Amino acid sequence: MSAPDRAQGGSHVHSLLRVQGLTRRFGGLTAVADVELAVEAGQIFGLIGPNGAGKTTCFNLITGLLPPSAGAVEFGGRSIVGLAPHRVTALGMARTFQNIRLFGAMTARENVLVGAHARLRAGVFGGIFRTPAVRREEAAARERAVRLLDLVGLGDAADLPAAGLPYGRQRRLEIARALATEPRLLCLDEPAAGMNESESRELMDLIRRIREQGMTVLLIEHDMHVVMNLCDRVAVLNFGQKIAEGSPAEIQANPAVIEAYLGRDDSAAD
Amino acid sequence: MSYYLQVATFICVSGILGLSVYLVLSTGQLTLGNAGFMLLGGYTAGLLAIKLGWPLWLTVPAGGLLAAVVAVPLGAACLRLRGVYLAVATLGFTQSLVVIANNLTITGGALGLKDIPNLGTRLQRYFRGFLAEAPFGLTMAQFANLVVLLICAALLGLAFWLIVRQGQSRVGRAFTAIRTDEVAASAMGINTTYYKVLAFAQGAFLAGVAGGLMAHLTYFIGPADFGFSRAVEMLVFVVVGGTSVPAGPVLGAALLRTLSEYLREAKDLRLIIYGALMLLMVLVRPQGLLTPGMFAGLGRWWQRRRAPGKGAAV
Repeated sequence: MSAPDRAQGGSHVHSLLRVQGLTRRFGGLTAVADVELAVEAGQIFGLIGPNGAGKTTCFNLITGLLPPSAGAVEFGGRSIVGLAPHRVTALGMARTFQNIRLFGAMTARENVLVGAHARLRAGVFGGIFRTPAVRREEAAARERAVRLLDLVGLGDAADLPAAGLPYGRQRRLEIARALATEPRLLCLDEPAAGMNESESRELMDLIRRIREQGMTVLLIEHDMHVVMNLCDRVAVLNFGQKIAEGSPAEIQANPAVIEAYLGRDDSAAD
Repeated sequence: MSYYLQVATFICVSGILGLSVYLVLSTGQLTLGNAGFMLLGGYTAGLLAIKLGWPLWLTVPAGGLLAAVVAVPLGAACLRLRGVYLAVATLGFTQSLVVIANNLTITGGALGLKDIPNLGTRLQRYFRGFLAEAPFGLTMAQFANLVVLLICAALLGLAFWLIVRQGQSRVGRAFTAIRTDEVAASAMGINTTYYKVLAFAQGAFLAGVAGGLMAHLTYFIGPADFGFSRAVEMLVFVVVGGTSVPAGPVLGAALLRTLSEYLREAKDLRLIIYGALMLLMVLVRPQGLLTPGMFAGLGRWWQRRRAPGKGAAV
């Protein structure tokens, strides 16, 4: 069933997410160059790197928002390159956005219900005439939405418009919305960005709880504290290339990583 | 009397047109193609009635259905475009239909379709069959016009109800999500192309139905009835009334239709006044007269009223 193994490593056959030779060029600029990743089921996998290293582009390539120039992405043993984003989501991959992209005029609950879209069936006819099956489905989805809002600590905000929530709560609402898609793999793009210390501690607890529920987490993060405390495995991108991968402790001691973050004398992050 | 009934009837048809644009707009797409779909519906209904003698209750839905069928491939092709580009492409569709209607023999060319069976006249003849005189002290013509108004109002009400119910369902949430942020919507598992084409085809259906009604309300339709100014007129209904609640386009249609009756004397000045009004709205109240916020309170009141008896409303 699986695609022929072009690369050397046959050891990652059971990875939930497997990325090989992933490359994306924008004109003359290569934003992501030949990146390899293997995320195992149950892991919390961190993707880190300085600003402009290509982390978000990587996410967009994996989740289908952007077609890769070259490379393979396999999810659950099946190639997902070229699939529309909604198909990728239906297969069990969900994501949040670095620059929060909630549906601002909708309430928190409605945002979560949108996330459940692919798991619900109601069509035009059923939706308009509210057939018994649709009523049951909708009631169950609403109940589930409340549970997810409770999980991320937004139980009191169900009926508030998303745009009116404070920044940290909007980030958590994005997570609840992504969870509503019932993912196997949850991709979080800088979930702790702009959070203070206690907020990011709560966030780490939340991510651990999510993993305990059986989900795999792939996260981009800037906050080293979060990465080192949370991740089982970390990959480092710089200028679109993977320069290191390993446990948090290994990464912290890696000279190439230290150089990428702190730079030699003159280099500055963009 | 008959005059006021007619104005009210046309308000209802305009309300349907406003809703047709609203539907497409509710997925964030700006269309000027609904005048073209209206033309399709109008000519289809007129021709089916004239040439094949179909009854009016069949010709009108047939017109809407044909418009929707045409809208699916057109939407699939055009909806890759966004914003003003989509508006231009759909306007191109409208204008090409006008040119085609202007040049075909079957559509009567620039002279248009004449002697389309008139709904009011038909009803009058029908009522004469079993009524000696019209009720409520009306003349038979007035009574027939009243029934025509009620039919159009019922159709408007039906379209409105369908749109409101759809808006509260999974489909409506998908529409709103796409309008707000198409990328985020697709990342949440929504097939954006499907829902955009769906809204486009639903809008086309309503526009086609309105065109069919129009054909049977006037004895005559011609290509000039469905061109650029018609496309813009429907859009103005929505912009003035409100783009994010279904009541908006209906209110907009009622206000502007009434206004244009008062401005009948002003002739060409009317379009200038229309334009000025549109400009004023965009500057002062870009969201339109009615906003979702106004209805939120109403909705809460309704739920409170229902809650004790029936449990939480779905």
